[in-house]
Amino acid sequence: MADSGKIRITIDADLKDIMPTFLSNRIKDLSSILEAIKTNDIKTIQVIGHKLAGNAGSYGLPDLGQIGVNLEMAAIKQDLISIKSLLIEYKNYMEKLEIVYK
Amino acid sequence: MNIAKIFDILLVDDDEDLTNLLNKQISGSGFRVHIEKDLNSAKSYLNQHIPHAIILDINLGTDLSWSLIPWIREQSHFQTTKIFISSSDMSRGNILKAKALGVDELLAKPLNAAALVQKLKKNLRATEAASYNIPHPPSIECSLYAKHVKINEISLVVVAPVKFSEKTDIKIQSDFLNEIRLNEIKMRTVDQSKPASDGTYNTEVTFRGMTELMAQNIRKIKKK
Repeated sequence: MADSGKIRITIDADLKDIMPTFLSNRIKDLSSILEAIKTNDIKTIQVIGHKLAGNAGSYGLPDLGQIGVNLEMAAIKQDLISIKSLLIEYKNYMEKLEIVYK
Repeated sequence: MNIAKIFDILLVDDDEDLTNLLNKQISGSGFRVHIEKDLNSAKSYLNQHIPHAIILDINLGTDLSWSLIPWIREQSHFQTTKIFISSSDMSRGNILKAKALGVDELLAKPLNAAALVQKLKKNLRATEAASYNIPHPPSIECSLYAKHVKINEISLVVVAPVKFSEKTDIKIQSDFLNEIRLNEIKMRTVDQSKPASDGTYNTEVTFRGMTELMAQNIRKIKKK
């Protein structure tokens, strides 16, 4: 899966029409989390983490789902250091992600 | 004959990315999916519709969806509706609670659409041909083709592909009866029908309100 730092994931071609919206919403997540950190809005981060944990795996991105699980847990624990670290992990994942439709 | 049946599924989840995905993947498999994002809108929908199955996210933002389950179960018209709950929290407490509330399936998130379709099919197979008793059965009007083979001033014998097991008021529309002015007379079957041939039955039908003119018309036939 790793090739020149890329995270290449093969997805069913049936999802080609809805995948761009899903990925675009993940980019929105990143700015929402950043904003929530600034305003100490931990609840929003928990909800974003919870949804990511529930939907990313269904789209064939289980590693991204695990970031969601960790983000939700960190929010429940109000662990801002882990939240910031997970935000970087989330951003890196999205930057490296390359979808291949089969 | 094979009849393709479409099952109606109510999907209650506030995650639009997930509902888009499930709607796309489930709809092509013989299911018609309706989506609601919160408990109030789900209740409004259920006040107007009776889906075959409900897939309910147990954690809808700040709302916990458990309260919807007894609300559904208390209403007799949802007796065959299957309830699936989905959650990323498959703790023992949640499993026991779901069982106690009569949930049919627990679905662990992230959901696998193919597995979900299989579970829907397994659970809905039994409801596909479910029969329901009709309370206070209403009378219905049936019509069918028949032959009248014998007639006298008291009764008529008809041959028809129907067996009368009790006395029944019937109406016969017939050019022959019109000609002899019997089109308006009241008729009632006598006893049970008797088997004739090829799935038909002979049924004797008595006349009520026979006038002298009608009787004379019948006697004229007998003379022919």
